[in-house]
Amino acid sequence: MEELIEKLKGELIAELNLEEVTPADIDAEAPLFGDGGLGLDSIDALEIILILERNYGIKIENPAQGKEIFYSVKTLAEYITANQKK
Amino acid sequence: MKPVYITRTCQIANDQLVMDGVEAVLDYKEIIADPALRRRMSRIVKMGVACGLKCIEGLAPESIDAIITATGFGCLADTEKFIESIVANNERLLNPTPFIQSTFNTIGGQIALLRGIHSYNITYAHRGLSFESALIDAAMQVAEGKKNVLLGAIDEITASSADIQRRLGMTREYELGEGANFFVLNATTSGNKSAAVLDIDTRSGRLTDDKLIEWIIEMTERNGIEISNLCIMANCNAATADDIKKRLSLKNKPLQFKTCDYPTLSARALDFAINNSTANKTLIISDYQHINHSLILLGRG
Repeated sequence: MEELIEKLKGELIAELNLEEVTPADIDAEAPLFGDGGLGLDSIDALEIILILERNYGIKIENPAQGKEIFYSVKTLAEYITANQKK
Repeated sequence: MKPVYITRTCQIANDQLVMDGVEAVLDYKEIIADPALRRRMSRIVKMGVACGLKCIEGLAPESIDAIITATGFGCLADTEKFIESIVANNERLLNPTPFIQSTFNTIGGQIALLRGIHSYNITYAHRGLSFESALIDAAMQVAEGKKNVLLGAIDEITASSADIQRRLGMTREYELGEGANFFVLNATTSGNKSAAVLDIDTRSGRLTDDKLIEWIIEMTERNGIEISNLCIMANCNAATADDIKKRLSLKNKPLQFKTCDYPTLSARALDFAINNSTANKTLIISDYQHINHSLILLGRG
């Protein structure tokens, strides 16, 4: 899990072009969206959906789950671990 | 046409910000404060938006009646990224950011959104005459009574576009370049600068030296200017400028300018003439790839 969390942090930094952020700056349990975390927005959410589909073969079938899955790097990693096909 | 006064100029090229001909500190973090917006911006978007914002610094959003931008190639890096993604992902799962940012009006749109400017907003993408087309529109907007018209031109060079242009033989005479130039246009002379655009004309296709001379004479006669007093600034090679000077028996030495080539270089030429020409009447002669030609007649306000 720790390895996957670090990999995800690197992918988020690269894909979302988080220029001034390093993996160490990202708290795996902090919220990705809104205040108190990375401050991502809806366009970033689309980019994260693409990371899941392209890199892990995961398609989120139920959009209602999105808020829960995308809460933090840790929740993303847990979802990937439970659903990964690639 | 009615004279249009250029009251402010701003340029970003080679990582340098020049405002009204004076170098200033270029700090993108200060100009585009929102890090979420900044991180999505490619180099040209950052250059263009920063240049436009600096040009209207201190002006109230509601006082800006139009934003008119020009670009020959558009936001190339984002366009390439988007097209590469189409190929790499088999036309599926395309990233939204490069698509959103690759449109030609990204820069004009971002300036309007950042400053809350709800006025006329348009982008011209007319190859080597993009800036001239935007300038003509800007002049018409000012003639109709609009104030503080923000006019800009932006073009960037990327590795793959440079390679294609080299293979097409477009770099035989000049190195490729890029840059962002913005101007504020008004019907009066108020402001830091007092240069006036007196006339603009464009032509496309091959233009012989004789036709160019005829065209220059036609423009000076139309504007009642004694041709021998004209200072020319040829946005083409120096030999051509010297030849024109000789053939028209001009008193003033031509203003030397050309440094590189890109479709909207005439905007940088206009900035250079405004901030460097001491003559009463300066004629900017532009030639993009021997296909798109323009004459911009500049006077002191």
